[in-house]
Amino acid sequence: MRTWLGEVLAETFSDLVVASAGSLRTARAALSAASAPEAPPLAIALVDLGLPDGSGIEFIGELAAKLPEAVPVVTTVYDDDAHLFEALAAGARGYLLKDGEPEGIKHALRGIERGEPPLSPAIAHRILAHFRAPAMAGRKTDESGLTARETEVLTLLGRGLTVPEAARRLGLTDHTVAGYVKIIYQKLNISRRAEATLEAHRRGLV
Amino acid sequence: MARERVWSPNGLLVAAGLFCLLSTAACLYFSLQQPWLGLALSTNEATGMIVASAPLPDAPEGGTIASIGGMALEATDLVEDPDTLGSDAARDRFMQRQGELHRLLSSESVAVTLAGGTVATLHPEPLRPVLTLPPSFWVQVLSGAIGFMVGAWVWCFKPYETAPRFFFLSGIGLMVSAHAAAIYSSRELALPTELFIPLSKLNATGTGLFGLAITGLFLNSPAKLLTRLWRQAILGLLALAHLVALLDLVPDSRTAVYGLIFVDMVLILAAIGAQVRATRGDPVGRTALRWLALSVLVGTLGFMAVVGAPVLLGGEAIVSQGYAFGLFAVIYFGIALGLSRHRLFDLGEWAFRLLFFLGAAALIVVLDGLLVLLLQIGPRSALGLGLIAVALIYLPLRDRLWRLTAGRRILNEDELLAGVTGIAFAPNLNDGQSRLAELLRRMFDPLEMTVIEAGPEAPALTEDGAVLLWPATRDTPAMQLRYPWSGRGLFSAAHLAMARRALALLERFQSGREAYAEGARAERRRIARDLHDDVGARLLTGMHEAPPQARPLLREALADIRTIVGGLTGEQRTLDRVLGDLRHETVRRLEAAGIALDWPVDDAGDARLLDYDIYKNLSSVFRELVSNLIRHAGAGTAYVRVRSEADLLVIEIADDGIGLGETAPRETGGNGLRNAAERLTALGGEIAFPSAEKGTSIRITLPLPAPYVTPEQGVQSSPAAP
Repeated sequence: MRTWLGEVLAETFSDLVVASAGSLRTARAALSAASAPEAPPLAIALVDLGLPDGSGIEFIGELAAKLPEAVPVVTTVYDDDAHLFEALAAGARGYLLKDGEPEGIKHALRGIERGEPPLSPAIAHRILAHFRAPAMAGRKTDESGLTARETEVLTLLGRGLTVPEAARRLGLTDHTVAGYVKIIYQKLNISRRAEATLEAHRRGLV
Repeated sequence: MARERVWSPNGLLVAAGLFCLLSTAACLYFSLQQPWLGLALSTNEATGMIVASAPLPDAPEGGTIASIGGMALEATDLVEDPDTLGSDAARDRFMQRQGELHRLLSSESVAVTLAGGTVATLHPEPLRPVLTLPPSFWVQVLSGAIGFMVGAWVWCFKPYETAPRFFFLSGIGLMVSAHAAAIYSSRELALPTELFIPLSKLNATGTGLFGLAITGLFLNSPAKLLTRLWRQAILGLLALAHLVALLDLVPDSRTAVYGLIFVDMVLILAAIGAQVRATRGDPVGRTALRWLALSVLVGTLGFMAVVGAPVLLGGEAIVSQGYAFGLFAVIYFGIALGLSRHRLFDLGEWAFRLLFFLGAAALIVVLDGLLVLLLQIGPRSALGLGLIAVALIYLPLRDRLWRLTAGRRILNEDELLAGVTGIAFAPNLNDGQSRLAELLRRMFDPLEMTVIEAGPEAPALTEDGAVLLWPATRDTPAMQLRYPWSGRGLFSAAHLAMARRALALLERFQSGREAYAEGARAERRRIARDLHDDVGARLLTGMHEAPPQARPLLREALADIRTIVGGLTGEQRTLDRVLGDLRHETVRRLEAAGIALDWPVDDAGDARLLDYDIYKNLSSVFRELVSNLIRHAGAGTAYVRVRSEADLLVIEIADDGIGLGETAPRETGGNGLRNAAERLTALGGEIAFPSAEKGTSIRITLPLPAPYVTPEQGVQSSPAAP
């Protein structure tokens, strides 16, 4: 199955060298190899959440920390918000639903690579709830809070509108709305990191 | 102002009721303690002479009476109210004659000389029989009592507020005035001066008090007019003017009382006019004012028209003053009606419960009295039978009536436990909240219970026991309970302890339930993970290896698992979220099939929470219908319209394809539709196929839980963020 996805990936970006790892352990080994200075740059990593020896979310966190220019993408059977939300907060730049047709998956991969990640209603709801939570509300909103426009975009996506539909509704271009989605991804990651720091502070770890 | 509440509303109202009874009894006493001739006297308008309509010895038809005990009678001797006589001199002469006549009537026998010269010797009864009191007596006594009691009723709930105080004061004024007038206006011929003069003064005092109080009422309610100093000055001056009239400091001042009433009326009208301006932009205040003003104006203007104005103009009252008092009762009936409809004085329908209780209590007293009367009158042999009937029928009935209306039951342990578990294990927050209200009602039976924003940490008493504050728990809001036991008591330390115990019990159940629910959630998450990782992975492998025509089926299976996993991990979802997911999924599926989707989404969301089985079935049915559309309709565009009403969700799915006619493939589509219909029926919904010009139109309706009653701010409206 991984090889199936690997094939789709190789077909989408013809100049890529594709390698696959079947467990968290082998993936980590590959990550340290890719972190070596002389190694070829790691462009994109498709990460399954349920790995035999651990969680893909952990790996996404490590990858985002070590190789910030790489694009981690969660692959999953379900756009189940509970799992995906954590992965996105850990630094995933998008997600792929594995039950799609190859053409659809290729389309989605190119979108993520261009910085136009998907955002399902379930995840939009969860992100909205995250930023509305009391812990966030009390915080300064300059960098980690959502602007009114971003909240509007999230609300529309949460009600099942596509990016072009939301763009038409708001009188914006598709490109601008896709840009908002990307910013929302980044803010989610930033705010989650800030929360972790705060939590570490609170426990006296930092 | 110190707010020391020692009396419950019920206590105040009962005290007022006793006072009212006392006043009524005094009216009867003074009216009946008079000598009685039984001559049915009246004035002949034409001759200005007094006529007896009752038979006299030697004159069975009655006749015009020239003199009594040698004293010539005058038409004015029968006048209802000496204040209408016009001058001090006339009044003094009238009073002097009253004293004289009364002295004559109080003797053993009195000689009555008719106009024809016939002399009859009569023996006056020392006491007047109660049935000879004219209807106007009862109208006045009742009008006064009604005014007083309605005033007391409004006041007993808000004894510290200005408007209810003035309103009660007006009722007191009315009763004093009407009861005094009842005695002297229904006299047969004469009252002793030492009774008549104080009664006349009481009547004037009451009238003044009434005018003053109504003026004060409209100066203060609904809006406060002018400044405090101005209001006090106006009322002070008015009171002074009444006092001057009352103490006879100005000649002929008693007739001037009618002039003063006229001044009162002008002031009241002016105040009402100012209130109309002041309540601009305050519809609630405006409505209350309209009702209050209408009642007062009908009553007072009516009185002025039939009594006040004619007297002022030097004529006679059009209607007997006694009946005119009935007009004032209109005011208080109006207020009582308005109270329930417009929350006058901020009282609501609940205030009526106190009246009903007192009514029931009074009914029992009356029934008891009637029974005693009947047993006394009946023949002796009936006594035994009567006693048995009383023991077997009446006493149990009476007991039941008493318990129904007045029973103050303390909840026992079992009931408390049942109530608290009912709240802690309520199926949803709405139910929990209403069950809490039910339990508190059974515990304390308050007249008023409201959800409040910020409650105390622990149950607390305020307003000296009139109010109990109930704190918020993890899933019930804070509440404020006012006037326990339908206003018949106050909260005490023992009740506070009871509330504390109930709260502790509730919180213990809630945390126990949470721990259990957390365990269940962990287990569900495990099942969900297994479904996700094992079944899902196999289906996925199968899908990529399966022939293309089998893929949609497997994809739907995956979507179903997705919904099941969602149901296992989350509990309830908002309607918005469910529709959002469906739309998102449908857009993708139709796009892959090359079909356009027309599904407008309006701005207003619907955050109603749906239970898992509702949204699971809704999603499955919708998915099935979209599958049918993709497979069989041959459509270019699919149309979806969603309408959520108070308790109904209506979704229409239409397309511009070949339609459901005879060409519609039945094998899979038919099955799917039957399946969908069954799912909907199980939820109380239905599926319909409205005729469409082109293509297929399917309408599904599904009953929804009532819109979530948004609790007051500060109450959590959904169970934890999704």
